[in-house]
Amino acid sequence: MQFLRRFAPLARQRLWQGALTLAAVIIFNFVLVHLAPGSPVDVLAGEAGTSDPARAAALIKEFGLDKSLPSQFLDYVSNLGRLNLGYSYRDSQPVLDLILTRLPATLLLMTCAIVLSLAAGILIGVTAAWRVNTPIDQASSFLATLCYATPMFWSGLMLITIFSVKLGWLPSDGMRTVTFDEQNAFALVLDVARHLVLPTTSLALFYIAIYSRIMRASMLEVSRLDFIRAARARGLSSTAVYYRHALRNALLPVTTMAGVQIASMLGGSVIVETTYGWPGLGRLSFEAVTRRDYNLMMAILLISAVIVIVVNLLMDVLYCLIDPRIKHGTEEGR
Amino acid sequence: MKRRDFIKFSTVAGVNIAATQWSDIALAQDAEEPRRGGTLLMAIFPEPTTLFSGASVINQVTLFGTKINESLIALDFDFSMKPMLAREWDIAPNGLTWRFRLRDGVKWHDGRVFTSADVAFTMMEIWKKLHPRGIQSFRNITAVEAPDPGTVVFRLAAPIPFLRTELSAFDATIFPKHLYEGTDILNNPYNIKPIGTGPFKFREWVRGSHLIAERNPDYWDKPKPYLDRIVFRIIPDPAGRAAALESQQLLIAGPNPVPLIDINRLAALPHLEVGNRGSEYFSPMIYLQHNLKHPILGKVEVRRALAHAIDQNFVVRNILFGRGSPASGVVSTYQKEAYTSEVARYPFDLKKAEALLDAAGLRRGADGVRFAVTLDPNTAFEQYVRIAEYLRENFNTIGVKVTLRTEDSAAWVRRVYTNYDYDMSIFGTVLLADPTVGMQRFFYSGAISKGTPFVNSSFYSNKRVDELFDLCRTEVDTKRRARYWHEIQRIIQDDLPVIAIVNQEYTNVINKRVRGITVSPHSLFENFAGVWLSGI
Repeated sequence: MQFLRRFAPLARQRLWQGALTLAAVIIFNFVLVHLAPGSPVDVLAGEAGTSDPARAAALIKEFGLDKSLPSQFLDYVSNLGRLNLGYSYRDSQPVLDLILTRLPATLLLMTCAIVLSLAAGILIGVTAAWRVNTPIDQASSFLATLCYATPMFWSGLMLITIFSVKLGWLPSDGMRTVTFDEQNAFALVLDVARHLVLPTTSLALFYIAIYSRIMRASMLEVSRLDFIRAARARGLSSTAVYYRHALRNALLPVTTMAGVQIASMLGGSVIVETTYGWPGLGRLSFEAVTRRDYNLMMAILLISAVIVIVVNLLMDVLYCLIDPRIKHGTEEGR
Repeated sequence: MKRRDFIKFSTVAGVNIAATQWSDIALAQDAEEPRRGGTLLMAIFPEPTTLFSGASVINQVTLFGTKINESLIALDFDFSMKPMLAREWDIAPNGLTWRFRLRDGVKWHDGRVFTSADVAFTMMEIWKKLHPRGIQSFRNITAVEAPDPGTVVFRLAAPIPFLRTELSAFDATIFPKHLYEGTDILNNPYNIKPIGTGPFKFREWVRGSHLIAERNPDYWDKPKPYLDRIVFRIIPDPAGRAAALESQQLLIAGPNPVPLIDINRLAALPHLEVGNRGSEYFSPMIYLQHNLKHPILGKVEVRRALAHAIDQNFVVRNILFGRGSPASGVVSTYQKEAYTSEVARYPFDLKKAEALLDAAGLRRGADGVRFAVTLDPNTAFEQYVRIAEYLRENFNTIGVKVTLRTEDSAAWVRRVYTNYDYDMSIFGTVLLADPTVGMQRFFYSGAISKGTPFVNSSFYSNKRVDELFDLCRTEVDTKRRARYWHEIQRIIQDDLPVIAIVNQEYTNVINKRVRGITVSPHSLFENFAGVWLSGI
């Protein structure tokens, strides 16, 4: 109850800002998407390598591209007002259906990658700080730099080459094996898990590097503060001080970073999903761009914006939970 | 006999090595007894957006559609007609009446009987109205009669010399009248769960992941089909496809499934076969097109000079990695009835190119540059960009400064075919079995149409060429028609609105366990009734 009272003003402020941001995103999306040269009709004809003037004209009319841009925008906004994200003429499906079939795959991949990168990053960072300036610390620094510098598509291809092509341990693409026998729930979970290993690792490597570095620096900084000395002085064991006092306080920067990165992971998943043929939203958005599927592109951008806004809100809640001193928009001095 | 013809012909096309390997395999396969059962894992990329091939000529749509829906006739390797849903036919000597007797006992996947009414409906309501090529190809078919359920008659206003190749599965699969009549055909629900007469039935489409076609147990051509099902796996990344082929998670992929730089590495693997046999229908070529409205490129001497500055053999060797041959003109060597090699040649000779440019009054300036142009490759396939890069270097050495612009395919289409905002453009195209259907659009002055991609956007206009194209459209005498085609090639090769760089190959990568693939010039765009897996 006390928490709610503390949090309510912040929530109100954030929701209001979120609404403004969304309005800006809607306008910006529409302009940006229509600025790209070429239309869906050009793409269709380009893929076919042939076309007929009458067919092209009919398609332009069917897609609603014969109307002026302002009137297309008004149509779009009034559809949004009715919570209608529009229709993908390319895929002959409502945009929302398309996105909903793809969203779970991306959420699963992102969740696994975030959990893995946070767990591994924090563990490595804490260990490195614990054993600072030892070979363990140096090795973790080296690995972090390596992971940070490796482009995602390349590490993806290398993982495929090693674990899929050469060793044959893990599948190289897709989300599950296409089978025709009845599959029990356990086998299905196991199958999806096997498919998850490589894409999750590719996506997580980069973030493991970042989190471990941040965690290390933050641990070193916190362990020099007065309250740690005070805790030691009270005679607590060094393990207790390290994990109960230092770790909890050192987590704050990583939480901030994770919040920012959940948003950017949507972008990173485009590459990983393409490399591994993962049927998620990242790939769908890439295809929407190259196919100039306006409605789909705008819907994905809009939903991504909503996700970012919601995640930021959740992060604020999390701050309040981790650090009870944080109040509505202000942070009282330590 | 036919196979030997093919080898002879493909040697001409410069693909003798691949062809010989293929025929050896084909011969070995003939000796084996087909096995029933198994799942064929096949790549499809990018993901199709519809499964209705009646209004789309996009490769992926046809790749899936041809397993489900069938055509009246099939083609042999020499493009002669073979029975399919029509078991026999009778063509009037003047070419104006085509009568087909249909096969008995053919059923749609939903159990309804297939009749001549389905053929008539598909021709008049789908192909003639909605099919991007059919609208043009079948224009002279004015009426279709169905005197009884087993007979269908096409009435033509003028002969269509290419009707037989256009009636094959690549462009003309038949759809069920009872599900399409009276509906909004383009938004019919069966467009994404098609019903056909083919050896495989649509089972499921999991977006972003796969499509499944399963065995039709009531297929008319028993004991076919041999496979239990075909799984079309959607693998968007070329490197991912190469890895899946290598690790046998994929048994067949094409056309051109992996970057050409990978193709010879895959071909060397013991379990894989890379080949082009069975792709004779498509006649892929790569063109360098000039915008004739450009003040300098508009001069024919300049275009001839540029032609001398292109080493076609270099392109074949180093960019196509041997998967192609130098082009002598704008007709593909695969289009046997039309092709001639007796045209003007522009051998690779940089000195001659420079001399021609000097003679045209385009001398090098103080900075060594004669003039500057832009070059826009279609980025849909990597090799077009590589060729553009090669040309930039070569043209630079003769004093022609080239600026390369690489945009995505949609932007390129808009630039070259709607805005006409380009100097030179590089792209690949399929000329198909007949030049009227596949090649005329680039050179016929009537085909200049703002906003229509892959037509005449060089603004080439030559009265005699137009006249010859008109004659070819209706001429049924093969020899006379060939003479017209030869003249067209000679004129275009003199005028050079387009420099044909290479004949490309449609390469397929196939696991050696997969048998019975190559049964027609349609390659993977066949119905796969006779495909089977050995060593299951």
